[in-house]
Amino acid sequence: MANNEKEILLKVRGAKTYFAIKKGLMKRTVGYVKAVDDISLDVYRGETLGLVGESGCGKTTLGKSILQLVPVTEGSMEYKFEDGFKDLRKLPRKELDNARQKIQIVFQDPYSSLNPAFTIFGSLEDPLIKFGMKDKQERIKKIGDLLESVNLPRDYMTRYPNEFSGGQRQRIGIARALSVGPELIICDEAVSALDVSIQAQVLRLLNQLKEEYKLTYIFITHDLSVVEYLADRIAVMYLGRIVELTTSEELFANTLHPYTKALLSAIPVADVAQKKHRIPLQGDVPSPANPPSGCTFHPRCPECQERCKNERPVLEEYVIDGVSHFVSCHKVKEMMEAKGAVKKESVSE
Amino acid sequence: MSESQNNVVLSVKDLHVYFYTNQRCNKVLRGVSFDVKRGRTLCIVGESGCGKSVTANSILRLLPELSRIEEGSITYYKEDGTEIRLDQLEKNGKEMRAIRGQDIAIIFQDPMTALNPVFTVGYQIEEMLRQHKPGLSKEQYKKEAIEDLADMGIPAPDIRYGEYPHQFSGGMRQRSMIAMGMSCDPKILLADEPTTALDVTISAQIFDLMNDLKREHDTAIMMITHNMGVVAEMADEVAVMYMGNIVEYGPVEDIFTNPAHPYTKALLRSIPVLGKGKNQQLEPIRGSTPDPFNRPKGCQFCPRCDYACPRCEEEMPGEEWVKEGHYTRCFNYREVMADGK
Ligand SMILES: Nc1ncnc2c1ncn2[C@@H]1O[C@H](COP(=O)(O)OP(=O)(O)OP(=O)(O)O)[C@@H](O)[C@H]1O
Ligand SMILES: Nc1ncnc2c1ncn2[C@@H]1O[C@H](COP(=O)(O)OP(=O)(O)OP(=O)(O)O)[C@@H](O)[C@H]1O
Ligand SMILES: [Mg+2]
Ligand SMILES: [Mg+2]
Repeated sequence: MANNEKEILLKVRGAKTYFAIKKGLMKRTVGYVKAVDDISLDVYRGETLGLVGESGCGKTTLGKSILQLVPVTEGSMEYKFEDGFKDLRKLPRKELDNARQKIQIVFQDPYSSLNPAFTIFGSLEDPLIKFGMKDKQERIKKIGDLLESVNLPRDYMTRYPNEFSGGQRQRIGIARALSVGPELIICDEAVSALDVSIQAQVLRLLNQLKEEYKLTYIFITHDLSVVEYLADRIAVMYLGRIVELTTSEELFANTLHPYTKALLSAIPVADVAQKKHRIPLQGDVPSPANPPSGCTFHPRCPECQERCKNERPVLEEYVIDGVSHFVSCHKVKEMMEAKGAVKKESVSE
Repeated sequence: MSESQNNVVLSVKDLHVYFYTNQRCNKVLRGVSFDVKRGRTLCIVGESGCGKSVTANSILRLLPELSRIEEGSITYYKEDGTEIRLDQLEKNGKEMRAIRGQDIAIIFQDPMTALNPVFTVGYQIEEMLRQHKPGLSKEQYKKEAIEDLADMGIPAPDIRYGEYPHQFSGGMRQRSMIAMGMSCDPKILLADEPTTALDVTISAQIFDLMNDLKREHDTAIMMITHNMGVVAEMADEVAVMYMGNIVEYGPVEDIFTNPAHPYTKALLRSIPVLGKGKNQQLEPIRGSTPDPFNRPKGCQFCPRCDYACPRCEEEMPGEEWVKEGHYTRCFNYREVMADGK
């Protein structure tokens, strides 16, 4: 894909989502969990952007922030509508509802996202009615088709959520997201509860649908082998920030950030002959309420230098053999400068 | 054989569990047998919906109203030599409740079934400790609960202790539940997809803790997972389930290098391999999972199997022993094994 063909669908700039920490009877605010802390990124139409990172680093919160499902503290999320870019944060209620048809989210927790009192048909027909499908027979057919597309029998629509296994519910969540013809789907750990064979089916399905409907995905996961298979580009998050962002091939072939390197070394391999020796990350996971100074990864970084302790690195873009590669790391920066790699402006102006 | 027999803490024999919903009967488990041994890890793998969670829940008698253990036995062998038939205990009787958490702990697939949204996470861990380690002071319980959270790699555990489940990220909820399950040093730990929401570094840390438990307390672990990487790393034995039966059981090395069931083989082929990127052809298993209400007559995998013969359509294969400690339910296993990977 050449650079000039890329059409930006979503522009996130300086996004911050903080949760207040309250204490005492008066519920005084004593601090903030900086779940998303100054994130800027572009999402291109038709791509799959993988979002990976440690548990609690803010992946779900970033997804919810885009959809305005949590109060966003700062920044903008501009989405390209037919009549141009509009900031989702500033959209009036009614327009936001419409935008939510275009942007769907498949929640991490399939249990809490299906209403136990409704049959699957009941849960899935709601969005269809809302978006204008008045005829019940038509809805029955549509929902049946959707279930089949995620490899579930049609007649499961008459059942209740508690009659399904974990993986079955996850697929129902995917079917529901697909029902109203979205443009952008945010999949939050959408295949993590699926066994490998069904995972393979769903991944293939997602790829197929992407081609067919020109869908765009933001794919949140902790499973790097899944994003590698699925994603065009991968963003690595650490403690509310993006530390590395590049194409999927480049990330695996030329891993630059020490955190990404550590992540890659920890993956279990499906091979008994090769029981790997993992290099666990040193030190404790820092708290997003009280992030370390300088580079937030420095206390755990094997390559930490004096400078990293005080000075926060910026996410900067380097172009390596024509491929754009964003990294925020002092050491990498030095290395790149020594090599004379082309440096571009950082995204957050 | 006899020596290993002594190490068995839990023995499930010919377990049949049926669900009665919508005036129909779903035969979810159709004769499942396996042993769980002291200080060993058994991993159960298999397609979504094949009955893995139901197996774990049956052991602790946590099945929903509309289901019944129809046949078979579940025996728990206590350290002092007494045998307890879990399947015959009263579901919510005193004995069963004492066993839950204390002797046998479970980590549920869905954190929200285990965590109560109206209590703080810290309080819920303390409750667990209070039940199973009585007699400590208030401060001691709090200290231990905070330590448990810290062990799970949850940052700022002293603050998190006072927070509610909804303030936690998905993975943190899962970890608090694991902390509850492991806090009482159980004899048997049933872990149902314990780390699906966790990234590799943290799951590695949790697996290390499980291995400590196994080493220090001789805890038997039964872990349900769909991640073959985790299986390769953690399992001593593996049971592969398909549509309510264990179709292959054996030592982890044999399962990976010498699979004897066509389903196991197909499963191994459908894993995305890191480093191969987008070019790899994932081979999902052809066809789809049969409708549980309209099952094939013979071998359940037959309609999707490359090795099927007329006999497979008629008859469910029994347990064929490939060698000691390794069995498969397949008539044509010799051919399957000879066929390479
Ligand atoms: N409460 C219930 N009522 C009716 N049917 C149920 C219930 N719980 C489970 N089942 C059925 O029993 C079968 C096995 O479910 P189980 O939860 O054991 O699957 P699983 O192997 O754990 O799958 P997964 O990997 O998706 O979690 C499924 O077909 C499911 O529909
Ligand atoms: N509603 C909330 N109130 C307070 N804190 C919250 C809330 N939601 C999330 N947080 C906090 O924000 C941080 C980021 O959470 P988030 O759910 O985005 O993580 P995640 O990257 O999705 O993690 P996981 O992989 O475990 O799901 C965590 O520290 C979490 O406790
Ligand atoms: Mg999350
Ligand atoms: Mg399950």
